[in-house]
Amino acid sequence: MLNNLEKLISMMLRLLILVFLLGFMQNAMAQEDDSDEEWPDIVLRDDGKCTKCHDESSGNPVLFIGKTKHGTVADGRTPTCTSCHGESDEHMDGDQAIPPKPSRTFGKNPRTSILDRNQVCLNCHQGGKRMHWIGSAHANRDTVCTACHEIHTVLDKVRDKNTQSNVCFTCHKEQRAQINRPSRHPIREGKVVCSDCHNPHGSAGPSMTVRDSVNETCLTCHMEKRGPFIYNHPPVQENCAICHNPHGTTAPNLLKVRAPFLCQECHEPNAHQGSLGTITGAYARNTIARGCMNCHTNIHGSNNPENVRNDRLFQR
Amino acid sequence: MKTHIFSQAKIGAVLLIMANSVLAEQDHSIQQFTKPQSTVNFGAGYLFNENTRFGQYSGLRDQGAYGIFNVDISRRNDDTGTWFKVIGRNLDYQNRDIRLEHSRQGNQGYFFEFNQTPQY
Repeated sequence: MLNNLEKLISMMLRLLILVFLLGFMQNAMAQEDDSDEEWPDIVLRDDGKCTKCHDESSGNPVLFIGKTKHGTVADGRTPTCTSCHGESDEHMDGDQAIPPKPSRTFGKNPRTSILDRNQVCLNCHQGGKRMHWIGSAHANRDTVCTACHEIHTVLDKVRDKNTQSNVCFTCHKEQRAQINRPSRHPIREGKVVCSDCHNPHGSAGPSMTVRDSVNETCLTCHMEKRGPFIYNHPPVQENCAICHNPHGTTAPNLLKVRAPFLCQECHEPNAHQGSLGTITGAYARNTIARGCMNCHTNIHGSNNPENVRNDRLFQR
Repeated sequence: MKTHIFSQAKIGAVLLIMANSVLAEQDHSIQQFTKPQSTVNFGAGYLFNENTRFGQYSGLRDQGAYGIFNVDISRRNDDTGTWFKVIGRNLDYQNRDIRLEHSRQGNQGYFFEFNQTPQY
């Protein structure tokens, strides 16, 4: 009786070992199998047919998309591989050593037109902040979404505060120089980024500003300049960029030119504004501490009763 | 006979462990490519020479040692599509910022953010 029990246990153990060996071998062989049978999905829905070749060791690694919002399959709106790359039947069915490219390609030397490539993104990402894409400067100049955005990576550089400006500066080289000038916004530190002021997907404002005018854009942060003031300085109301270059300058406070020269671009002769500063004499006041704003402190607008009957003073 | 059964059991156990560890390694290998990961950076730096302009917006003005501390914690519940993120940068500098975000993708979300910028 005892012998039979031992035989039974021995057989069961052998069977167990055999089952696990078979299972393990099947799993190992499956990694190398190139048959047409369905492969399990790894990240996206129905991605098995793609990830059986494009795995982590592939020349075109695609699995990183699993770390991104595109790879969050619990959100029913997330795409499949073919949503963006097309059905790509030839690419998958081809027997050649180097298969033909997918229906839509986005990398180097793509055969898909720019409009088609952008339309793939716009199929989902339209409206809201991208409402003005069609007709925007970037769209009109044949910029593709993938020129700025990276889809299969954890960190899309253009969506990160610290790296965004470098993506923009690959084309906008003048601005790269300007943000390194002594007077600048804290762009290098990642505290102000290009998209704080500009909407690269298009806007109704000039230079693709996020608001409908330059002033409205600047005043979202610099709200103390908004007013309303009793005594207004007309260029302040018109456009901040008349006096300031927001990307950076060598004059203080992002001014395009130092005072008094900046002021004298408008305030011409017949008053002390039109005369150059001197060290001594009547016009020395123009030179004192080198600036008109030493006396005209509230240059953006004033409510001070001191300015009654002389609206130009803008004194505190 | 008992010794024989025990040796078979041991072999079975070893094979089971091997198979499990290989499969777990494959899973882990795939997961490191497909699941959000978290990082914590810390270090130290030393600033030679005082320079106000250099630290205009970062606070790195005075000569001396400075700590470096950044966190990027990212978690996702794959069943519900719920994200939990904590991103902290320059936590030992005066231009520190930290953002805590909790969202269910495609449904709702909220965040808290603290961000400070010195200006010299």
